[in-house]
Amino acid sequence: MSHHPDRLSRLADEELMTLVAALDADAFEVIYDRHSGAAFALAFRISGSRPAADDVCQEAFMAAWRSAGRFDARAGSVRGWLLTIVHNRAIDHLRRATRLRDRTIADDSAAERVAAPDDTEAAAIALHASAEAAGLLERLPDDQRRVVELSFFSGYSHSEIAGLLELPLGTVKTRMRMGLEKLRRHLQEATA
Amino acid sequence: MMPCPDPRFDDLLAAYALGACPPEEAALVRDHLDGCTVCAATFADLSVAREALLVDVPAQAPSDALKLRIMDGVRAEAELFGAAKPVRERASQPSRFAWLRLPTPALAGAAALLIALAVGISQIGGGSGGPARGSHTVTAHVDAAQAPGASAHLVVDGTRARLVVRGLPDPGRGRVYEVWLRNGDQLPRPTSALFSVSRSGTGQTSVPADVTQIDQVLVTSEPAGGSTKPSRVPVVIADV
Repeated sequence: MSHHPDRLSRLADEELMTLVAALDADAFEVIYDRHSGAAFALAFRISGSRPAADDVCQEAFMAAWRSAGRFDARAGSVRGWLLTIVHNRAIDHLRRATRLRDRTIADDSAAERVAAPDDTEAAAIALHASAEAAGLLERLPDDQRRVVELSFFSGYSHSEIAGLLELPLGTVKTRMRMGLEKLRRHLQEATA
Repeated sequence: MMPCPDPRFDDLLAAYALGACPPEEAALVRDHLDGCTVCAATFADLSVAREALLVDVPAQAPSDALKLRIMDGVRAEAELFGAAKPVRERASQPSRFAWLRLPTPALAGAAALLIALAVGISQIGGGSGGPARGSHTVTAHVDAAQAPGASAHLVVDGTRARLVVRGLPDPGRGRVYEVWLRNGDQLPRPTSALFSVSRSGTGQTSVPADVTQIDQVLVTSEPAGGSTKPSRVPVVIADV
């Protein structure tokens, strides 16, 4: 499938992004080839279907193409930037698809996720997603894994999770912190 | 390192990293991170875990059809902004209109716009064919698909110009119209000229440049604050 010249394939992501910002479609194709697999897997994980993941990826990659000039290498990797866009678009798509309260997120910054599910359909989807925990999350105790999954992969806010799980809000926040800290420690140990 | 003196952020940082804060709280955390090096360092640590979660998902390969769709869109837009050149240059390069075959509504609108440009621009008050002298008005072309019934013109006075629009739709919530300058094959350059329109669609703004040194003035709808690269097809194009 790839037709981009070898010279582009040898460039680092950050160098390619400079070209993409100048509307170089071939450079963008290299970026796509490098990261579309991870992007699609993430979109599928959140949206739950290939057609929905297709829509999410198309929307996200076009957004990345159009906003390439705003990419700042000092703020993180191209991969992290791209996957964050995919993540945010996928959560938005999930909310629309499940008729959650419509609060579309236009900002592709790291956080600012707000969800509003208070219906049983949304809860069932979130719990189904929880059953598909992948490798890293399995390192966490169930109570921490649950709140991380419900927020990160299902788009619930901390207060919504508190209501869903019938827990004090402070407990939910603490579990989120403990969960992320544990994952961070695990990653440190794995790379030590 | 001393702990952050504000205990509210002990647990909020993780919720923020996971995207679990409502907007007001997220704004509070963002502001705090700007000024607290302790929390900024903690957040950077948590973000490592967050980024790992982004790829902690079962493998799923995208289809070839998805790549084709995306790259078709990308190449069409790259071509589009390459095509928005002065009339005298486009006339010798008809192949630049290849993207007209694409079905995307926005591109179809842009196609109509560029066809109109190919037909030519009219100058009012400046005479036809001769060099412009003193103050004159240049009729701009408006993308009828984006702004049906709208009109726009440049009032040129020496090196200065003012863009006046009528009947332009509201740019949309959280969006503004942005003025771009273009020379030859170069990419459109952003300007500080951002404007909106009245309820009737009327608006005007100064073109912040010596207009004798530019070929085109373009207008696109952009997010509030403007963009550094056009994110939409131009709604107005004026050949200076």
